[in-house]
Amino acid sequence: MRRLAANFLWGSPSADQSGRDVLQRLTPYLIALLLVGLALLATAVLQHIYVRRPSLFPFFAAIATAAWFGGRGPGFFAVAVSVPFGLYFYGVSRSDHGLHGRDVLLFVFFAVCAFVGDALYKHRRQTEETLRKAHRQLQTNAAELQRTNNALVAEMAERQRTEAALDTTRNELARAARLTSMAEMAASIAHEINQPLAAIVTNADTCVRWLNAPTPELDEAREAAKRIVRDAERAGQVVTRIRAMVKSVLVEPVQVSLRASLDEVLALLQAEIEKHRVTVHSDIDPALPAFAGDRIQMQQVFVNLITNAVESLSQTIDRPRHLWIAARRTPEEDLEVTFRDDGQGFADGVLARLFDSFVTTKADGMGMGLSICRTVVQAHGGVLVATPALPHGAQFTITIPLNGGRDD
Amino acid sequence: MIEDDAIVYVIDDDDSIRAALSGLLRSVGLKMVGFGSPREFLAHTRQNVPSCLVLDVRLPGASGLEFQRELIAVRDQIPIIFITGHGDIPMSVRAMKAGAVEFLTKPFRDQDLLDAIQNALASDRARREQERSIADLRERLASLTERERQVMAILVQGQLNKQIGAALGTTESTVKAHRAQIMRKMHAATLADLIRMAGRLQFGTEAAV
Ligand SMILES: Nc1ncnc2c1ncn2[C@@H]1O[C@H](COP(=O)(O)OP(=O)(O)OP(=O)(O)O)[C@@H](O)[C@H]1O
Ligand SMILES: [Mg+2]
Repeated sequence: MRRLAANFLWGSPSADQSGRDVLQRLTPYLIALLLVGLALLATAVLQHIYVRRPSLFPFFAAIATAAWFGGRGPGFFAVAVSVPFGLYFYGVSRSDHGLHGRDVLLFVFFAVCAFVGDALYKHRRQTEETLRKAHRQLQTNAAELQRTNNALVAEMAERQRTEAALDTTRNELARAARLTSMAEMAASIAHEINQPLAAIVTNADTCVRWLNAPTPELDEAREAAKRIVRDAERAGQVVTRIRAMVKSVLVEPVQVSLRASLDEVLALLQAEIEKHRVTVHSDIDPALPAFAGDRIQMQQVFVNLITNAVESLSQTIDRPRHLWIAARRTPEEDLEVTFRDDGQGFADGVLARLFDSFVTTKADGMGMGLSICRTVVQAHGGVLVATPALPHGAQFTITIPLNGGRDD
Repeated sequence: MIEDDAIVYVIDDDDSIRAALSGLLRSVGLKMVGFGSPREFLAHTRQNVPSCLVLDVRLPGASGLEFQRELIAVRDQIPIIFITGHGDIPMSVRAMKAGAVEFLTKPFRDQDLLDAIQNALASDRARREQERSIADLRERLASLTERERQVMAILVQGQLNKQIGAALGTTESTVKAHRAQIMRKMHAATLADLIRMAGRLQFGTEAAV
């Protein structure tokens, strides 16, 4: 019921807040009443002290303050309450009656006070409103800023994820490309060799047939044998072509500084090495001369060997992980580079087939690394040897002749 | 090996394979004609003799399997033996399902190829024989008079002369005379013979008219 009444009175749309609204709206009126009460008290006190002249200033002040505080409504409310008191005081001091003109004047004065207060009230409200608006604006700005910040952080994380994904994709692509081109090449080589081979088999069968005939047909047998020779030569040409192709992969040898190329490789693999907390000890003879070879391919060899070592070490958890790289010139004028790790060592039975293509013990390995290494080292006229290291781990030794080793 | 003048066609883009196959087939007295591509084979006018086709799967342009499909599409019934460099099982299954006689992986044993060729030629010969005898029977049937054909239609249903006469409104002896003519013209020794011929010609079904 009360709420209904309040809604009716103040037109508050929200039923929940109507009780509080009523209180809020009533407050300035109560304050006006209080102020007028104080003015009354003050006037009474002053009356007793100065006796003769009644002062209405406390009322002016009360009205103006009420209006300043609550606006026009409470202002006039204060006027309405003050008028009888003001008249009373005048009446008491003058002790005569009927000065109606003065009553009006008094009311006018009070009203002026109320208007002044109201003007001040409006001004105050405006200032307050502006302030509030500014504050709200500030808050929205801050929220906006927060949102932007969050978005930025999210975007950065997203970008990092994308980059990681891109990296993986790139690796996979490179691997797939290597694999398909190799598979294609293998298929095409197989076809190229299989054709003359099939012809040879058929010709040989035919040759035997002619020879086995009741009266051997030597001319026909000879023709078949000649075809065999021709087809075999063709197969040989295919092999020669493949050889030439493999060789052409080797560019003209240049003078390669072992130290510089190793340093580059280590820098390249730095992140990987650090990630797996592997300590690399390199011991490279400073007096080592440059050797003739293909820098990029030798670096590929180093990358493969170091990667294998790091992969093996990453499985090692019960001891510190070390990789020793040493390079020296042997008394036989060979360049000898060793890579030794104290990782897992070779898995059972792997050592014998280590350098074959597609031999791997890794879930995501292709088993091409070492096969490529050996091909490259051999193309440089050298050898690559694997030995188990003691007490654990693996060792790979590259030996390349320093002066004019490439004679093939 | 007694051979009629059968011909083995070979399509393989590899000269040495063709040369080798030609030598092998000559050694067993088989005539071979080789082609480097399906196009050349199609351009060639084939002789009307038992024949088969040795087809390389890997060919320039259309693959051997596609060419097989093309031949089937134009109802060319020449038996096909596939030879391929890569023994791809799904591929061979497809080829065999489409009616290939054999699918050999290079290098193959000579005897395997020769056996496959003999099988292919035998089936082509049988098919031709079949076609020829049917054509023959049609010719014989065409030499019958209208009346004889009517008699034969009822005859092959196993009716007696008397019944036939009744059905056609003639005497038994006239039917007898027709019957003798039919047996002579159709080269049928017995009634069972004649019934078998009618079956192959699907005569009983359409000649009820
Ligand atoms: N340092 C090493 N310690 C232990 N085992 C090794 C080491 N290096 C190579 N191996 C063994 O040799 C196998 C072949 O190595 P290889 O580098 O050829 O191929 P992979 O590393 O398995 O694959 P990928 O082609 O990706 O290099 C490896 O799977 C591993 O079992
Ligand atoms: Mg590797």
